[in-house]
Amino acid sequence: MYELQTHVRQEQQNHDLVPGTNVLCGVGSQNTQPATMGISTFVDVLRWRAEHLPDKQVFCFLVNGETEGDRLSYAELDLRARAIGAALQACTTIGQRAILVYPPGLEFVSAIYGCMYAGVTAVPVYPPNFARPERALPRFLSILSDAQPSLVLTTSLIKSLAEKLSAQEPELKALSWVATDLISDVQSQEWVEPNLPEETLAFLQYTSGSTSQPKGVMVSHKNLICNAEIIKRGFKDTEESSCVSWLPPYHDMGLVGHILQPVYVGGSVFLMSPLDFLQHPFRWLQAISRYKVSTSGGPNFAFELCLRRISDEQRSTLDLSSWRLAFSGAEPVRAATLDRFAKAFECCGFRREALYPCYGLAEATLMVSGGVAGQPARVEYADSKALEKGQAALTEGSADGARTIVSCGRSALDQQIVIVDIDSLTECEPQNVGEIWVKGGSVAQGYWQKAEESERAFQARLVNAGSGPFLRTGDLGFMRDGELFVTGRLKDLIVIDGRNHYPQDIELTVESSHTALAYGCSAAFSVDIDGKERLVVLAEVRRFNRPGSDGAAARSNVPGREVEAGSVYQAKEIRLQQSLDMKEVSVAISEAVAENHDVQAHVVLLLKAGSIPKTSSGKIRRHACRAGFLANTLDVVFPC
Amino acid sequence: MKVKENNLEAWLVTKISSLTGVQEKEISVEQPFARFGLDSVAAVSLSGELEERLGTKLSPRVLYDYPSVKALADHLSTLD
Repeated sequence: MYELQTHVRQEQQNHDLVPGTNVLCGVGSQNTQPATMGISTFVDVLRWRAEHLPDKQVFCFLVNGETEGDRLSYAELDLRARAIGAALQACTTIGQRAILVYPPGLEFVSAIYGCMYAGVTAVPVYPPNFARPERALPRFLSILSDAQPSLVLTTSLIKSLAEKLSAQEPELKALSWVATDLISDVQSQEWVEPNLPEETLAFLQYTSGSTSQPKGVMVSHKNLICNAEIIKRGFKDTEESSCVSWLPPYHDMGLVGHILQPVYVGGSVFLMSPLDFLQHPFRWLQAISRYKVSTSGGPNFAFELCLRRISDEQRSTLDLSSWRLAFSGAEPVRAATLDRFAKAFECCGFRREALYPCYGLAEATLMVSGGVAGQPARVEYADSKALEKGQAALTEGSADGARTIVSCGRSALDQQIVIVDIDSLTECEPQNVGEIWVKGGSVAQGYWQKAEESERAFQARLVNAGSGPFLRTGDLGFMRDGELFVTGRLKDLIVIDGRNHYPQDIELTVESSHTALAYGCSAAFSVDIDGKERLVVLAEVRRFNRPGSDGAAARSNVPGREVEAGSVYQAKEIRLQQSLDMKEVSVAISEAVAENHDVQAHVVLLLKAGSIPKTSSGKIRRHACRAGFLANTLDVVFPC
Repeated sequence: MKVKENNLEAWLVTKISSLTGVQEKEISVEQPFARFGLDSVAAVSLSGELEERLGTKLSPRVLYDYPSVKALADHLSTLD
C-alpha cells in the first residue's frame, strides 16, 4: 500500500496540485491521507492555480459556437470569484443557497466560483426564457420552492426581464435578484477567505426528479475533489489537456466535467451554447480541430447527430488527430454508433481508441466508471433470453438473440461497485444482473431536505455482509473481469412470471412488427390486473388515417380514393378500412411480442399519432404512459 | 413568391417525415410540429438545416416561435 502511494505520487509530480491530493477519496481510514498543504476545497484548487498559472487562459467562450468571445485566465477567474464572493459575504451566510440563472457564457462560470468563495451553495438551473415563461417557468418555480434560496444570481438583462414578469408571478417578486455582471472587480479586495470544512456543500444538482418532485443532489467539496481525481486518472489529464464543451453547464456532465475539471487539472476549455451545437453539429468538431483539443465528448445522440449532419465537404476540413479522449456517457452507449463514428471520421485523423464509454450519475458527483484511456472499449454480446432471467450469459455477436453491450470500464481508486440482487439485498452471483451500487468519496450527501428518500437511496446496506452505506443507482448491470456493463433502468423493468423484460427490447419488437408503427413511438410497462402483473403495450399508429372530428382532413389523405367527397358510402368505406387495419396492427404486435419475448401482451392500445407521453427531447415517458393508462386519459384509437 | 413558399413547405414536410417516421401525406402544414413527435434536438437541428438551405441566419428557436410548417414557411418567405 505504501509502495503504491509512493509510485502514484511520483507519476503525478508534474501535474498534481500538491503531493497527497491523489489519495483524498479513500473509503476506509487506511486508504485516506489527509490533504497536505491545505487543498481540501475547490476554493483551494482555484487559488492554487491562480498563484501558479496566473496568465494561462482557462476559459474561452465561442460565440455562435465559432467566434472567440469572452476569456478568463486563472488570475482573472480568481479575481471575479473574489469580487462575487465578497458581494455574497456582504449579504448572506455560508450554507445559504443561491439560484444561478445564466445564459450560456462565462458569467455563469464566475458566479459558480464566486458562490464557492463565499461558502454559498450554488443551485444552477436551466434559464427559463422569460419572454416565453410557460415552457420552463414551472420547473424553475418548483426548484425555488424546494431549495429555498436567499438569492438569485443572474445577469442584469435577465434581472430586468424577471422584474417585468414578477408582477404576475409573486414568487419571483419575493426573491432577491443580484446581477453579478454589475459587481466591480474592486470589490474583490473585501473578500475574506472563508474557513470551509471539506463537507461544505458546493452545489445542489437538480437533474433527477420530476417537475412536481424535484430532487436536489447535495454535492460537497470533498465529493468534487474526489471525483475530479477519478476523472483525471481515467482521462489521463495533464496541464496540457484542453477541451471543448457544448453541454448545458447546469447539469453534472457540463458543470463538473467542463467548468470544474479543467481548473482541477490546470487545463483549458472552450465553451459554446448547446443550441449552437445542435444547430450545426459541425461546430463541435471544428472547434476540436481548430484548437487541437485533446478531450471532448457527450451523450450517444451527439455522435449520431454528427453522422447525420456533417457533410463530406466539412469533413475534408477537419483534423481530429489531437482528439485522444472522446467520452460517451449520460445515456446508453451504443456500439453501433461508436463504430460508425469511428469509420466516418477516420479520414480526419480520428482514432477509434479515443472513444471512451463511461458511466456515472449526479448522485455520484459525475463519473463512476470509465475505461483505460487510449484502449478500445470492450464490447460484449449477451444472450437476450438469459438477460430476461437476470443472467448475463455472454455469447457470440452472430448468435440469435444476441444483444450488444458496451463496457463502461472499471471503478477507480478506492471506490467500490457492487451488483446487488434487489429482492434479497445480497451481492449477486458473478453471472447475474442486478442493481448497481456504489460506495466511495464521490457519492453525494443525499437529496436536499428529503431525509426518507436520501436514506433509501444513499444509505443502502447489504443484508449478509452489513457493509455500506452504498448509493443505489437505480441502474441495472453486471460485472465481468472488473468491468461494468449497464443493461437498463431498474424502475422500468417489467417482471412477469419471474422473468425480466426490458421495456426498450419489447418496444423495439413492437415497432418492427408492422409498417404502421414508427421508431420511438411505443411504450411497454406492467400493471397489476386482478392480482397479477400484466404487460401493457401502447403504440402510436402512423400510416393510416384515424377517425377524426374533421372529416375533410380524413378524406384528403386517403390514397387512390376517387369516391365522391362527402358521400355516406365513402365515409363508411373509410371507417371499415381503418378498423380493419387497426385490428391487423394490434394482432401483429401481440404476435411479435409473444414470439420474441415469450410473454403475452395483455393489453394493446393503439394511440393517435403524436399523443404518446414524451419528454421534450423525444424520450418515452413510461411512467406517464402507465399513469395515463390507469387514469384512462390516453388518446386511444383502437380498440375504440 | 407563392411557388417558393410551396417548395419550402414541401421541403419541410420531407424533412419532418425523415426525422420522425411520420409519412409525408400525414403531415398537415397547419398542425404543430409536436403533433408529429418532433423533439427539441430535432427542432434545433432542423433550424440549422434551414440556415444551410436558405443561406440566412436563423434563431435556433425558430421552430418554437413558428410552430407549424405553414407558419414557419410564411415567416421565412418574409426574410428576403
